[in-house]
Amino acid sequence: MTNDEMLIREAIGEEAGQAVDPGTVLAALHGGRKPRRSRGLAVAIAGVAVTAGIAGVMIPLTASRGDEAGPAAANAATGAQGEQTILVLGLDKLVDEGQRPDSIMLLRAGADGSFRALSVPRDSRIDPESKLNMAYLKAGGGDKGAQATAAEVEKLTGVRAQHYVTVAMTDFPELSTAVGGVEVCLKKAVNDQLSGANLPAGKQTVSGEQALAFLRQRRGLPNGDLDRIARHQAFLRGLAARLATLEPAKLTALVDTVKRTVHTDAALDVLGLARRLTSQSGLTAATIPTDGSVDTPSAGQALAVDPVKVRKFTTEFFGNGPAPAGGGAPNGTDTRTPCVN
Amino acid sequence: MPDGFDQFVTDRLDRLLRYATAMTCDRYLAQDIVQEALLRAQRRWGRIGAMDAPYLYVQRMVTNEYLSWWRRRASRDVASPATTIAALTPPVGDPAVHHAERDAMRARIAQLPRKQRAALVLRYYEDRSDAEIAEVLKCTAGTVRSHISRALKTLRADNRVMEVL
Repeated sequence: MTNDEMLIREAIGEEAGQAVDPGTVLAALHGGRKPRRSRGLAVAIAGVAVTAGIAGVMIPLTASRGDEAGPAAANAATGAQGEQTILVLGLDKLVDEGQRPDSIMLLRAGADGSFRALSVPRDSRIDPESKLNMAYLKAGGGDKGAQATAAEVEKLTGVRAQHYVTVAMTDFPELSTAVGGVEVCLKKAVNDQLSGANLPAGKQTVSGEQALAFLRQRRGLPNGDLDRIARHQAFLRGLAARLATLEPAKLTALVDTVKRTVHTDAALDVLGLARRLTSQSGLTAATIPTDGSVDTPSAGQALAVDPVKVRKFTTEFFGNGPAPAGGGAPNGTDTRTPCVN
Repeated sequence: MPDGFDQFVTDRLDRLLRYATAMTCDRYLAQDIVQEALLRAQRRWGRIGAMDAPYLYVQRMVTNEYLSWWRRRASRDVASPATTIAALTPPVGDPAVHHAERDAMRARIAQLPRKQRAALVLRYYEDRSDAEIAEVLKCTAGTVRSHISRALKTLRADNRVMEVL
């Protein structure tokens, strides 16, 4: 046996040693249930830009810190490239059939390390019969679904995403707890039984189940899904701020969660992205302008969108100025914790 | 007296989880697919349990679950920061060298195409013959040899690149 083969054996053995405790699987088998997946279903309603944020913010942050700490720091400067636009899809379920993106975002990583997120509501009407989030499933999901969604988003916004990232929400409460909570601010106190959101008005740090409820609540908010998107963005900004101040050891502890929830197209150079994003990267978020609810013949209520307005807004937003007026829920970078619905 | 399935799980669960973890490079995904495969095997245990090699059959279910899971998903995992750091950091310092080399190898294995990785794990972790691997992967022994030789070639080529860096 060659040295290479011995090294391979050891490496595979090391990987195998990461297996979970059989006891957890035994418990699931005896319960006759699939707890991880079903929890995924329940949790995933939160859909969410949040893991999107994790994909976009946390991995680069973690990697860039590893970079600074390691001897390869000298290479850091060589990663500078042009800007990159990534389509981020927050999927509502795990692998099982019927998967749809609940949260759809264009994420632009600027060459200067800035970071802009534009939400495109899942209910945006893309033709008289369909909403944006139907494109994914129609194309068969997976890579094809992501590409089909990217094509529809391009039609709507005029921006072509070079890459995509899909995320399925599975372990959200643990994640928010692991970072030590995320600071958000509510304009009004809420108590919604459906999502379990029971939160006071004003600035607060949410984690665990309450963070999840904060992200899930759609009922009882004047603008439904649009208000929920505003919460996703607020949370994302709070998360980015939190991650920027978190010690590296804690970040590393989150790696497992990120790794199992985030998937990308093969060409996305996460490392390259990592080299240009730093903890100083700001995050600005906004939602495309929409024109109210309309009925569709077979897809229920959709949000009317005017491609001309949307394109204009998108161009201005990605033009690196402040978030333009007219869109939903602009969240500028200036206020640290803007209050939402 | 425990039924055949319970006995099978008691005997084999740990090994199956390790196998799946090595193949997927993702302990939680491994947990999901092993759980899924065992739940399905349980429903058909009358037939599976009567086979000559139930373990091989269940291992094939686990492998298929992974390969088809992949077909339904985006094409690869984001390089984890662990992988990233391993790739960024050339091994330095005497006692750390071997450990770093092994971690770097782990990172490179994680980047292999899934069938090549499955074949590699069956060969170097499960010590299976070409014919057995062919049965698990539902291909010919020739294809198995080709998967493994390609994987080895990639891992060696990467090695050279690492050394130059």
